[in-house]
Amino acid sequence: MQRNDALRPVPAPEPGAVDTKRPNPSRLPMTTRWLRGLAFNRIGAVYVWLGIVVVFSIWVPSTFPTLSTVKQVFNANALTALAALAITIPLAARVFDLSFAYTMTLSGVITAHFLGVGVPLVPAVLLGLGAGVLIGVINAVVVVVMRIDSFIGTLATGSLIQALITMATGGTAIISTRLQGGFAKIGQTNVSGFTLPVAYVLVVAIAMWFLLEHTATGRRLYATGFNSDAAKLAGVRVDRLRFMSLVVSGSLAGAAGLVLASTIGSGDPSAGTSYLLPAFAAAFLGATQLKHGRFNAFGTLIAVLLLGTGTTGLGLANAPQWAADMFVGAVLIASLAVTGIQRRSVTGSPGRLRSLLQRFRAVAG
Amino acid sequence: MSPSTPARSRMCRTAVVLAASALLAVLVAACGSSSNSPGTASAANAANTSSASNSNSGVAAAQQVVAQAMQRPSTVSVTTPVGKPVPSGKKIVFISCGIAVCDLQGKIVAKATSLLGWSTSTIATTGTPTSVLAAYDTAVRQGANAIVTTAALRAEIASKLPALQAKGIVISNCCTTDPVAAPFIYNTSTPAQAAVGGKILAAEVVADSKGKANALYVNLPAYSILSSLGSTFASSYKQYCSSCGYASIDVAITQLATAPNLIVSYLRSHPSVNYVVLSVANALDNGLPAALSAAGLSNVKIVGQGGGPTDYQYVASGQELALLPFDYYTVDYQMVDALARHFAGVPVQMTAPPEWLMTKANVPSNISTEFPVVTGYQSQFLKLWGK
Repeated sequence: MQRNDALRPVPAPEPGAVDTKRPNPSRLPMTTRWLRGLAFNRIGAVYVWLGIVVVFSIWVPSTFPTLSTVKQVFNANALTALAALAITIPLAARVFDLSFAYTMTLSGVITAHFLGVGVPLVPAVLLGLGAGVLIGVINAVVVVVMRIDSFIGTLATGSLIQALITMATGGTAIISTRLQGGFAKIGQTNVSGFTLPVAYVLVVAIAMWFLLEHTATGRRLYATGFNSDAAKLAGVRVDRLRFMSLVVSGSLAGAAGLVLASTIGSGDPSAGTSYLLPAFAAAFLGATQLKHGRFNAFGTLIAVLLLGTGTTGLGLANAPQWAADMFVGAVLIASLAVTGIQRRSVTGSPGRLRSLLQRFRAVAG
Repeated sequence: MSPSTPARSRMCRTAVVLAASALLAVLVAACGSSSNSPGTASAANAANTSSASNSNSGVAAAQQVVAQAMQRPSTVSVTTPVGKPVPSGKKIVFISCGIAVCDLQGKIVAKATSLLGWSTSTIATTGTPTSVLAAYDTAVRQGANAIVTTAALRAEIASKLPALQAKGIVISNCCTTDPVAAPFIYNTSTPAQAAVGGKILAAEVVADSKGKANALYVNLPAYSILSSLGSTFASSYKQYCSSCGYASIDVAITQLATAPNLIVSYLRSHPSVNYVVLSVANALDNGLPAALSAAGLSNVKIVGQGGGPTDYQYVASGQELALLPFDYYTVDYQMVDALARHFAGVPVQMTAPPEWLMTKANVPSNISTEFPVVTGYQSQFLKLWGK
């Protein structure tokens, strides 16, 4: 089967292949589409988020409902958002990248090292970013070429990266007065109370949204993630997409690591590790939002803001130390339960494979 | 069944209702518990405005403590020479805790023991209880004469103690709350010794503010060794300045990544706080100066105990006011010194680690790595050992 033929839009679905009871969303009136878009099962986290905002506004009225809180939530969670966005594309293709947190550390350490020994800012930053790209390629080779499951494969590469970092740094953070100059501006520049990482997050999210929602590559990524066998049958180059998704992940993680190093002012040999679980939590929670079980950029941002608003509010309310963990746990369990329902509804039962193929053809073209 | 069927919608709604209920439960529980929260602890404002003279004398006393603490120690706390030949040929095992700084300690211990003509092997652990227990088994199999380690608790290795004692293996330890008892022969940086740091930090805050401080103490309850630091900070702080504000918050070990945000939240809800005191600086302040700056809280000063190169850089650049760096070098040599005395058959001296208050005014020139507070520590120990 020629790939182009396979991905050509299907003009008329075979009878019974597509759920004819379900109206085509694009043909619905605008008002109906908006109402559907605002449905609780599409943006439930937004409603929960609004509820949290209301609760904290009543609970701590003097400090929570202020512009300062908005700035704090955005600034404090920008790095988590960058980290979560880094893994959104591979997750869309159903590939785990557990090494991204170590890649963040590595790029920060490499940049700090080269800055410290006198390399100018731009080349040092490029070297740090290059490390991220390289790790992405290595991950892709391990997962796609060597056919090692991405979960364990990237766990292994992450472990190797951490070993390399410790070997090179001796476990000691790399500092230099040169990290306080132009490099610090990358993460610490403040514009009207918002730090630059917030802007990076917006840029990355918009680019990712465009890629996933408005290009054939995005649709093929989702097709790969939902059912790689079916996607292959439809002519999607699954391996190439997975390969590239890991390279993108490594690159974005490298960039996030640079911003992190700039923010803390050193090349800390364990700086990225703490972002591992929050980023996955945000990505999975984000998949419950907006796109019916698909990992997507703005859903990820909603999740980061939901979790960040909750933890910030609990901090402002001087809640006990266990409250934040319990809050995150409760949000995740409930939201992932919704994701399961949504994902099952999209992937459907085995008997719907034929219908699924039709959909792939329709969306991937 | 399509996703828009009533049954599926009901399932979604049920899940969402469950989520909302769980969240509400969290918020209610957290709200209910907040009576124990630090906000209420700001007894600060119940200032005892006793008398200006008392306040001034407290500030003066604090300034005196600070002036003394800023003098970098030039001698180690062990003072009595061993006085007998230290036998050579001993085999020492260093059990590493699994984090980077323990690897550094392994190297320091290896250097110290080599100066005594001993050999050292390092057993790396991942920090998990099982890996630590396995390390003790390995040490026994390797024929160790002694073990050097950090923060080992008797209860955690109780199952291995009979084997160690049967082989006559002794343990030189640091930074634990346990009293010294066989097979442990030494412990330094004990809770009582750590308390000294609390007094110095309290003095620094009161002296720097000239008696106008409102301090937030950030505690890590996971480390019980820190409890005396916190309690001494609180009592000394009130002693130096009864009218100064004080509160504390606990940060769970799982919240370290978000500690700067937690601290910023607290400071925003308590805008009169002007000092943050960190029980473990390197665990709590990664990115804290930037977070304070972004939140418009740059006037808040940071002091802390411990630290690493990143924190030292914060002090050097003025982003943090003061730190009490931990002297891994001297402490490790103290642990080896205890073994030297044990094998030489003389009493072990229970000694404290050196305390030094590092500020921008006295920060060393090379802070890119951990450094010894007592610069001449090695030659002093060699002299004590008769080498």
